[in-house]
Amino acid sequence: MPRRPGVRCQVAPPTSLALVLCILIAFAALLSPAAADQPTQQEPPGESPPSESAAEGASSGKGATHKAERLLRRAEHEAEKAAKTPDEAGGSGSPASATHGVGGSGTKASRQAARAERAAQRAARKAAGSAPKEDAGAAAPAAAKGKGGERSREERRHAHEEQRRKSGRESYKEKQARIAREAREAAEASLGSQGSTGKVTPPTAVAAAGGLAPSATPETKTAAVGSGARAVQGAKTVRVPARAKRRRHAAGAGAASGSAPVAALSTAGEASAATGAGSAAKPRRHAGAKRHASAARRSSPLVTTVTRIIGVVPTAVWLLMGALALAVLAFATSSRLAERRVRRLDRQRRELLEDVGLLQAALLPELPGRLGAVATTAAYRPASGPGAGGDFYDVFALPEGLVAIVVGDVSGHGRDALPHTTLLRYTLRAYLEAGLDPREALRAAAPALERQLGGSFATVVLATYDPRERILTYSCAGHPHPLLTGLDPGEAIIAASAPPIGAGRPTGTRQTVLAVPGGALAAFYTDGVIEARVEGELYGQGRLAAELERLSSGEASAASLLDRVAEQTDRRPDDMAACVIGISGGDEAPRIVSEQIELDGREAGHARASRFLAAAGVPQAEIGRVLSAARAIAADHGSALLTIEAGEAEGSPRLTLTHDNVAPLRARALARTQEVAL
Amino acid sequence: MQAIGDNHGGTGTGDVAFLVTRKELARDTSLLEVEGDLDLASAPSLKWALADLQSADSRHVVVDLSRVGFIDSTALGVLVGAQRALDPGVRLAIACSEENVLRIFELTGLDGMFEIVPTLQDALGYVQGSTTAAG
Repeated sequence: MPRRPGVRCQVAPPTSLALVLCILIAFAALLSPAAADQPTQQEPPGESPPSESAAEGASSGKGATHKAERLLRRAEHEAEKAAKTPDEAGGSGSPASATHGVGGSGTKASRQAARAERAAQRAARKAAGSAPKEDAGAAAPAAAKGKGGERSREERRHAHEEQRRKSGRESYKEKQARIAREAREAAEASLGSQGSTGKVTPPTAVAAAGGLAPSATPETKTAAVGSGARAVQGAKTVRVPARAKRRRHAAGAGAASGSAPVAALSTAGEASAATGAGSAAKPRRHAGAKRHASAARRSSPLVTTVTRIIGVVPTAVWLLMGALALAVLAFATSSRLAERRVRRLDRQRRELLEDVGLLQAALLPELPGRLGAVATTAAYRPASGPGAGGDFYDVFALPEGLVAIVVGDVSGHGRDALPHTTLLRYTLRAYLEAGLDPREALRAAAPALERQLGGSFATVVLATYDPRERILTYSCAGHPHPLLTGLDPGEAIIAASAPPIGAGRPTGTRQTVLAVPGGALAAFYTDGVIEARVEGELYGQGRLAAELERLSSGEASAASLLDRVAEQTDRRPDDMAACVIGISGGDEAPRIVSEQIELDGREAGHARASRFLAAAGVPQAEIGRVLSAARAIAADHGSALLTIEAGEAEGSPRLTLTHDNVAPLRARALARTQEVAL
Repeated sequence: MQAIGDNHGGTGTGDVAFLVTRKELARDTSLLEVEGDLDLASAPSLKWALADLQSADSRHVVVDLSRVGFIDSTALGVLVGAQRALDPGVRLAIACSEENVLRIFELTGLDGMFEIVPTLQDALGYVQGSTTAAG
């Protein structure tokens, strides 16, 4: 069954709780006003029938019921008011004003109390004078009666004493009770004198006066209040559950007490009747009435209550609840989304940190700071965009005091480039540590690396510095030449550079040897440094060389070099990596000792070789001869190695052609060297 | 030779606009006219344009870099990849007379890997001439 993407599906448990809370709040808000409209009559099962009822309404129609309740409530109000100042007795007030004066003052209440007392006495007199009847429990329009006067009295007393025993705090209540009892007794005395069951004359309205019997014993409490009003139209018996027993007295009209108290309400049209009855007892009725009502409600099953509540909830409240529920939903949803976003960002951050950790391990080896007589520093500035990753460097010591430098850049960026950078760094290091020259190391490693690069390619520069000979030897594969202070960058021969590793062409075909007689800084860097932009232009090798010269007088570190580059450029789309080695010494400038190029048959016939020879200072007339000799050697041995040594002064360079340039080991290469005199 | 179809694809590279235009020329030749800087940002466009050419059918490719002011290692890698993926008998030529670009090719040692000629006519002559010779 397809699940509909309903809003409710997304409601988290807290949301449901909140919804329930909303309903409860609305419920509570409606409780007080709802109570006024709620029918309170309940007929709990197991309730013993009332032994005494002051009055029982014959009619049980709905309208009559509500009417009776209304009256009950009014009477309760009266009682409440009367209870406020029970000890004061003032003048009488008009019944109507007492009835409707909800927020009556203390004096009013006292007046009402006094009036109630008088009314009770009046009622007693009237009852005595008229023909009251004993209540047989029948549905009489109105009945004021005492059942079995003697027994009732005894029971009442018993209950009264019991109550007194139970609570010492009820002195005030007792006072109230006494007053009520006196009134009742007066009435009952008169009733008792009549002795027989009879009917009250129609115009008599009887309201029940609450007794004070919290005991389980049913008790008669009747206050017959006569009034000139119409006959009782209908009364409803209101029963409260046994729980009410624990409550204090319930005085006033319709109040209930005892385990099975009965409050019989007369629906006397005259409010004064109810008023009189209510104030007859003058008790504090405030809590009693409410508890009566709530007790009745609580006794019912929850479902019934909720159903009723729902019935009376105004539309506005429904709307409010709906709005609240929607707000809760919205908050829950947004909270959930935010939570997921936070989790995702956190995960990405962790991944990034892991990447950085890998970069640290793979690309940023701990440099010793100084290797023998050489100061070594390196720095790495990842690009701030997708270009990050791919640069690597390494500086390490070789036997016999040599220092090896590896700086490279793998095509491709980010996570994918990391394995390649590691592969290259350690592979090239191994070849250098095996004792090969930089060019030989590249030449030997490139085929193996190309197979593992899987289509990527890498530019790299390998270098060794021999501090004893003060000789720097480097070999580039598609990589920028290093810069040295005191050496014109243009002196290095660019023509016929070796291609990158993985380009499908033999590399490790070029090598440059420099003499560094004096102090100098040598900077090895990746193309990201010279390809940084200054207002759209490339930063370039010239600017970098100038910066290196300035650096030599100050803090000679790769980090400060890259810092300066970063300061001068506005866009750095690629990683920047640099190694700077500091060679101490005098003022003598470094110079190129020799350039080496390996030529296979194809290269020997290419224009590149010619350009290389021309750049090296070989006279044009000689170039053809040299190349043809190289082709001859390449035809026999696969390739020819041409070494051009700078001649003394301005003389023509010395060229050496050997046929074995792919020898994996230097010793082998040296053994088969064949000089070609030109 | 006439343009058979145009296929525009480009991307901005900061301050310099970048554009790759594909033109289908006669005699099984496709021309890619590249404009702007070929760098990290624009290299993917060139890569996809070349990949489209090669996945279509075996046609010669001329890449016109005459209006390219700069080419970085990433873009060079793209060209290297295209060169190495060429079917047998199919040729790729680069037309370029821009000094900066030529120097980069030279510095990276890739000038020996490509047929780099100064003009578009030379490039077309190279790929189509060789086709005629071969076929």
